[in-house]
Amino acid sequence: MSAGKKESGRLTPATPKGASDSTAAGDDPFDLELAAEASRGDKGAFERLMWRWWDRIRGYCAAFVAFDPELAEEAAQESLIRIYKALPRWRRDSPLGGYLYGICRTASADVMRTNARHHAHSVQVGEFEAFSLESPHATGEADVLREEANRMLSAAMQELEPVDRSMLYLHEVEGKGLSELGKMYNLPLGTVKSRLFRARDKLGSLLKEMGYELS
Amino acid sequence: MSSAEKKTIGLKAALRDGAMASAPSFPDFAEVYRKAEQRPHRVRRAVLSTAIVAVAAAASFWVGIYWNNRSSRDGALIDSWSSSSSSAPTAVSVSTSGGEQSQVVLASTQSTAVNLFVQDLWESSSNVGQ
Repeated sequence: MSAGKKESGRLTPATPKGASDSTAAGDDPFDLELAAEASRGDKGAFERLMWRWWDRIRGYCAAFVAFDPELAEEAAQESLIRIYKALPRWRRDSPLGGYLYGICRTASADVMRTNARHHAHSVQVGEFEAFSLESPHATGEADVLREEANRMLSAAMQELEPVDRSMLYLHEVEGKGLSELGKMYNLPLGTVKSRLFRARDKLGSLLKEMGYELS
Repeated sequence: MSSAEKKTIGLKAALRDGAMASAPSFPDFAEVYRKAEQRPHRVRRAVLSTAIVAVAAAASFWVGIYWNNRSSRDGALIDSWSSSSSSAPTAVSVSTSGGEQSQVVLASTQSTAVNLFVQDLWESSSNVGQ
């Protein structure tokens, strides 16, 4: 993973904790064991596996649908259904992480397609101001500012392609390396690198227009 | 917090926060199993209705083929005429679609309307009749 990060000097070099569960180095043996049992119809093993993967699955689905709560919930639930049905067909020689993320990707894309009205509206820069309203969930000044920044980032994320959003999420949050992303998305290394760069650049430009800067 | 701090968004943290805030907190396994059980029925229903449509299409196709063949056979009822020297037939053998054969003898060998009609009929169907 860290090797993958070194391949792209312009991208964030941070490696997240807990991202080592499913990396190019290999899947967690316990996950593999659970997946094997789940593929034989063991619902308990399936649930344990999904609990271990839940944050990654829901985070990935949410990023794919640009943090739309309704779509994220639908996409995550649809992903679970498809994983449950597809696990018996999983070949143990293929990476579990890539397999699960692949299912999440198609499920999220289908959910987005069937709910296209959610994405018909493109956020204009002027509308960013509307996001600076105080959130009822935020208490202190820091919370308010953080929520405001998150809302702006969400709005800016909507301007990216779903695949770019999800790729950026996997790279930044899950710490996936370029080669691993290339295998997952079936793209050449250079394409992954340029798509990540362009996504980050576009995100940075959109936020800059609002006076924010990516770090 | 300074204004400089206010203007900075940490991409990684913001992405994680955004995802976790918008994503569902808990998986609904009961719903997963319920929908997973429903799906094969839905697929089976779709396959069944597709099969019915396909069978109906195939059946209408073959009925159409049969009907066309039957019609063309009806047009070739005259199998032969008895007199090859005459321009108009004096007697013609006809066969029904059921395979029964009989002979029709014409009263005149002149170019009467009936004879000409039979001759036309013969000529139009002779390529399949004899």
